[in-house]
Amino acid sequence: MKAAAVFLILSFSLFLQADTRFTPPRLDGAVIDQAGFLNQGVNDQLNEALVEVFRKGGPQLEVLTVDTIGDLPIEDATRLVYKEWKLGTAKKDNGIILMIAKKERRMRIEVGQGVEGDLTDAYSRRIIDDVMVPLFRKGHFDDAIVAGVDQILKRMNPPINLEDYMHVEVRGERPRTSPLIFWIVVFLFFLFLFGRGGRGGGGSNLAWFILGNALSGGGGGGFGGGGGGGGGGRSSWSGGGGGFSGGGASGSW
Amino acid sequence: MRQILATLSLLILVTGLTGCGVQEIPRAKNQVDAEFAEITNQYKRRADLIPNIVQTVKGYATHEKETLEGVVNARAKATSINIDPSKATPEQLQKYQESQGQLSQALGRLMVVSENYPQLKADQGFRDLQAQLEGTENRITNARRNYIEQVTNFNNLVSVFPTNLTNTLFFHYDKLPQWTVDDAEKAVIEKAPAVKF
Repeated sequence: MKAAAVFLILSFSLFLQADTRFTPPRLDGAVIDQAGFLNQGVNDQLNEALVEVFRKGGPQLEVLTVDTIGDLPIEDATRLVYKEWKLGTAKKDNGIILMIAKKERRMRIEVGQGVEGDLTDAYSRRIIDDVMVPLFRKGHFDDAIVAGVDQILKRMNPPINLEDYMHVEVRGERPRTSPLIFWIVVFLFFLFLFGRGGRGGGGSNLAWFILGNALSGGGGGGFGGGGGGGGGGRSSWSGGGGGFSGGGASGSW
Repeated sequence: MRQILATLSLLILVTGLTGCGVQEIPRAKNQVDAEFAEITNQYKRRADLIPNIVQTVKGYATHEKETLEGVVNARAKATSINIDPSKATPEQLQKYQESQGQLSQALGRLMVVSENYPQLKADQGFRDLQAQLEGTENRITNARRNYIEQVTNFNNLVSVFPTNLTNTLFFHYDKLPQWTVDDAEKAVIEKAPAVKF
């Protein structure tokens, strides 16, 4: 009897999977990464940063990646999403969706009515074409999404600096890892002093370099490594009745 | 005692009526008007954008006089038709839709033509304008869909029991004509893009 029930549920879920119609997922955080573009550490930190940005009166920015949107144009998919979630407050209409569809290789920035003046269609297009798409083509998905979010926030009035918020997030891990960081810094210091092979910032600016390190867990596994600390505002994250009118821009990679 | 009865019956009447569409029907009508205003608003936005686009394209695409003129004329025609959403007759609405549809076509042709000019495509100003135009077109689509949804909602209220009774009693609204894709636009949609070598 039990087996039959399990079978029924399983077959039903299979049936659901086979359905290619896109439906917005449950809104349970500021970053919903169904397509798995982000590593867990970045995911958690970005989520907490965006929750914090919204709590402090900034826009309600949502990062949503999905495996597929079926045969829907991405504009229609984001429309379904904002109708369902109503991101942003009803008063400010300050919701923003950064949506990425993996299989269709499409992305879109959907801008709430209240922030259309700050984040215009033209700027949304520039963020996608000039910042995100080149990084996506190289496979640097973490960097692309963080850089896209950063650029979106910089367009706000007043501009919001994502780095400020990303730094706040590591505080839970910091006490434990700081001795390690200290020794790494000392090690690097000597390396720079005595070895002549300091590679330099490789074109990008220092701030990004540091941010990137803090985010990626630093290769050697020294820095925090995400995990545990997350979860902060996930449960209390929900739309507040913000309106969208279809502004923003789309692109492909 | 009689007073209490009177207030009670009044209360029942009021709460009873709220489910009957006394409030919903006018509200739905207002919503329909608002959504239509949004459509005209977005069409206006598009019309405002066009002179800039035409100017920019003109700078690069010197051989496309005809296409450019097509856009300018279609815009002039479309902006000459003003419409009051709450009082528009179906014929006026039809005309308005047609003129905007023709402008969409003319603009579409211009955008196709602009693909032939690499320098134009690389121009940052043009790219921004293009993004704005796409955004506006998307807003128009969006507004039209919202309108269609609201008209459906309104038509349901005035034609489906029990709210249709309230309508015949108090409001006497007719069903509203649904927004249709006009023939000109249909031709564009159905015609496969021509491939030229």
